[in-house]
Amino acid sequence: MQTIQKITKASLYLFLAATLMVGCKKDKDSPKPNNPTPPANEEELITTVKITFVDTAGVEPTVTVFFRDPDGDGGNVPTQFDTIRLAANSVYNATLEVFDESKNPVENITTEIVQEADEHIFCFTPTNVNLNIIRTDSDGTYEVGLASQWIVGNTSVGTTQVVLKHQPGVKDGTCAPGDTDVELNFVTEIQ
Amino acid sequence: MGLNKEKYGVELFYSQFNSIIGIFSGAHIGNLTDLQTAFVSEEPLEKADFTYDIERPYQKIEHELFKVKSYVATGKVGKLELVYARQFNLRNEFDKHLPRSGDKDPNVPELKFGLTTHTGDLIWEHERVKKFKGSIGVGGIYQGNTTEGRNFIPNFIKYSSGIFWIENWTSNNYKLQIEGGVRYDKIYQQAYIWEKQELTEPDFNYENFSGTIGSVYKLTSAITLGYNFGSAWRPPGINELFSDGVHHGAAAVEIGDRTLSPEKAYNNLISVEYRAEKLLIQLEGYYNHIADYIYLAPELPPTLTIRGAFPTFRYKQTTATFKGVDTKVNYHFHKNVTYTGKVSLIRAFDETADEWLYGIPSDRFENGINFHVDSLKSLKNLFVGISLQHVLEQTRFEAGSDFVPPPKGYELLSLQAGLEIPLYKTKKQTVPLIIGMQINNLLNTTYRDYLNKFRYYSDEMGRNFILQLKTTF
Repeated sequence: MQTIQKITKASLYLFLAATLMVGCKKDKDSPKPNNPTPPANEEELITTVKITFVDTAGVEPTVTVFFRDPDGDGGNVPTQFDTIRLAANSVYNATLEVFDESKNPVENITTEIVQEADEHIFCFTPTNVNLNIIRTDSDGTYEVGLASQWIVGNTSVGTTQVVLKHQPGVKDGTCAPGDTDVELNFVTEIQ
Repeated sequence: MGLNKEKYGVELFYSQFNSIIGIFSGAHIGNLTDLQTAFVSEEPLEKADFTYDIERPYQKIEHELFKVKSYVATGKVGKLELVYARQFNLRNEFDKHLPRSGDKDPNVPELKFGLTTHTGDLIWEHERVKKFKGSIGVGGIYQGNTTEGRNFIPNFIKYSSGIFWIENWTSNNYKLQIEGGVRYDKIYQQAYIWEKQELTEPDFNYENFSGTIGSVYKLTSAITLGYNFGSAWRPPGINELFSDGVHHGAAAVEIGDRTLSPEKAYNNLISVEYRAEKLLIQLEGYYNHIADYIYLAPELPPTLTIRGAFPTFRYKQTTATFKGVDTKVNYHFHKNVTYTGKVSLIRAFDETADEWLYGIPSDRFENGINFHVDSLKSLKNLFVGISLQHVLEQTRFEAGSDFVPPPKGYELLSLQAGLEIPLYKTKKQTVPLIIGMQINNLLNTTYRDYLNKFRYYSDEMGRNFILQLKTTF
């Protein structure tokens, strides 16, 4: 009788253990990837900033500058970081474009910024350089900065900080709220 | 749940823990400027209205543990124990914002991190035979890690197995105890990394012997002497091998090194303890020699990214020595009043480069007075304590090896107090409400700590009040 009880008890525990084992959560993803291709990078990456300067007087040649870090943070260092060279005592219309060059085909993030203009703002801060920058576009309430006017003074050398802030729900026309998506200090020469 | 008999027994254990943790959205940063702005602003730049719903950013966490423990008595002297456990952890991170391109499923996390661990141990313990008591055993661990979403660390698997034997010898008068043990471990790690559209599967094999021998000798009823020598090792972690990018927790770029070899340490520890009725003195000195010591070293200049420049650190290894002293003194100069003093000194040197090691704590001293009353009417365990922590400036560093020199030393005053109030009575006991209060940095000192990576941009916390209420029901 005792032996039977023992066996019953033992098998009961065994059964419980088995149930629990089967009931355990499984990690559905195996560490070794099954797919022959890498997972699509869903994360949005800004790798490239392009600024095009057009002289409003139509005299000076058009200037294009890039910042490029095609593989994003870490890995290889940025491949291109141009100096902004503008002619003294002139006025340029500047157009800003933003790309993700890690994707194939290259993704133009500018179109998404245009669609969600009320969540974005570009801020420009010249330092030690005779330059005045004003945003010339609007999301309906606040400025955006994809289009801007650069009023160039006398010969000087300094930097211009270009910042893109992502401000969903908190945009107030200033640069304070939100997360920084771009922060670049372009060396700027007025000649 | 279990079955416990004298000769054999089985225990089953199962637990599950699921939670969703909201993250304060003002604490989310894009780059160093955001971080500095967040640190210096009086109020959060982004405040949310009060809500019971957990919104982005948040984390969804699942833990599960299943454990079976069984034992069989082996004659009169020993016990054979078998333990198997499976642990499963899953963390889903949902970022503050969905990507700008609106076609992503909001229910798919931006980062998913899974870890499955199986452990098995078979241990045979033997009771005191003559003067010896000890155990011998084998163990194995399997770990499977999966990461999905944002580039964080690669998927990897890790197998480790080990065999050990440990014995303890005690003299007849119980004055001298000697303990010695040896173990041998083998570890296999394989990572799965996508590099330029190609899957690479670098793998690593490590194996090592380690051993320890120590003794404790009771010189008199008040004085105890101890000495321990041990060797230890650890293989490089996956992050140390493969990190490459911005570490958001530290707001810094961390770069791993695939050629790192295991760290091997030889540790010497000598201790003296004096324990009398009113006075306790503990003194410990150590000398550790570490071959291939793995550490994170600053790398100049900072890394330039599209979101600005980030301080950069690279995992390196070298031969290092650590020498140090830790002391603690307790003096009960009145039955209700206790003085506590602590000193901690450490000197760490990079023997290969013949220079000071980076990131080692500076000398610290702590003095405290505690006033304690066991009971006062119906109140229990009342105490008030004040302590002063004094941390010196780290002067043992190599000029030009860091982004900024180590911060100045500082002194912090803190206050603790607490008591227990009886709340209600059950048949067995009185359930108390335990109240604890703590004020850190009472004088609101502005300081930075050498060991905190945020010291590169910001001060430590100012005066900080913590109030704790605790009860059981």
